[in-house]
Amino acid sequence: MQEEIDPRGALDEIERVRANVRRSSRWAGRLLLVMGVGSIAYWAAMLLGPGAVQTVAGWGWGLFVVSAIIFAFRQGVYDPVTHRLQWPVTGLYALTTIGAVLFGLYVLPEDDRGPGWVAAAVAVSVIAGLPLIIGGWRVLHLTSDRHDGREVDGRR
Amino acid sequence: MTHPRHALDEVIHAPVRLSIMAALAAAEKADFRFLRDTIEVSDSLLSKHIVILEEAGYVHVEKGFVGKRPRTWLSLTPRGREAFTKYTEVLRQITEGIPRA
Repeated sequence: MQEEIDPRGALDEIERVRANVRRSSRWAGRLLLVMGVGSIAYWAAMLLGPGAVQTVAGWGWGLFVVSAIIFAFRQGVYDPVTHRLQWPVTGLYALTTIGAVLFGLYVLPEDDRGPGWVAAAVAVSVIAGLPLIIGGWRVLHLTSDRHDGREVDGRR
Repeated sequence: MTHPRHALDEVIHAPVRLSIMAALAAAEKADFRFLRDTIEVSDSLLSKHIVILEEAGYVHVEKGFVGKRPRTWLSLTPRGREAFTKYTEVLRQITEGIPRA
């Protein structure tokens, strides 16, 4: 690496490194998107599936969440957008999850589920996963190469 | 001394330290190994420059373990972020030929 650096070269290096870091830090957005889709599938299975499907969904979701946590801990870089969004997304996801649990326990009838109840259960499943999907989309959008990121964290 | 180049922060204006600061400015925090691979330097060279940035109060170093593996996390301090923002502004003044206010 050269020892002297001119101002134009310095700006180019800043952009190169910044783009590299932003590409590497997009894992969190992808993980949130996958978890959101997984959450929708999980809740659809739990609310509408027979006992065996619920058992598989429960084990599958549990293993998936553990794998996601291990994956997140193994990453080498964390971006400011994810850092900023982690508590709003977690809080909203906790609320939608509680809503889905209450819906399954107290609202959804065990028998005689017509198309209306199925549609309601699907809607609750989708809503439960929405905070993760929206959070993931926001992270991917704000860390994309086209987005210069200056307003991302309000610190630049 | 009115030329903006005199306002360039000498701590940052060195190839490896510039790359470290640029990487950390784009991240909330980054692992030592990630930084080493991103800016393509040896462990020893990276450590040497991190010490300089840490002594300047620009970089925060956090050592810990994940299981039995040691990990070193690096992040910019508020002072470091401010210094880097000012440094890039000076660079732009120079490259765009804007005189200092």
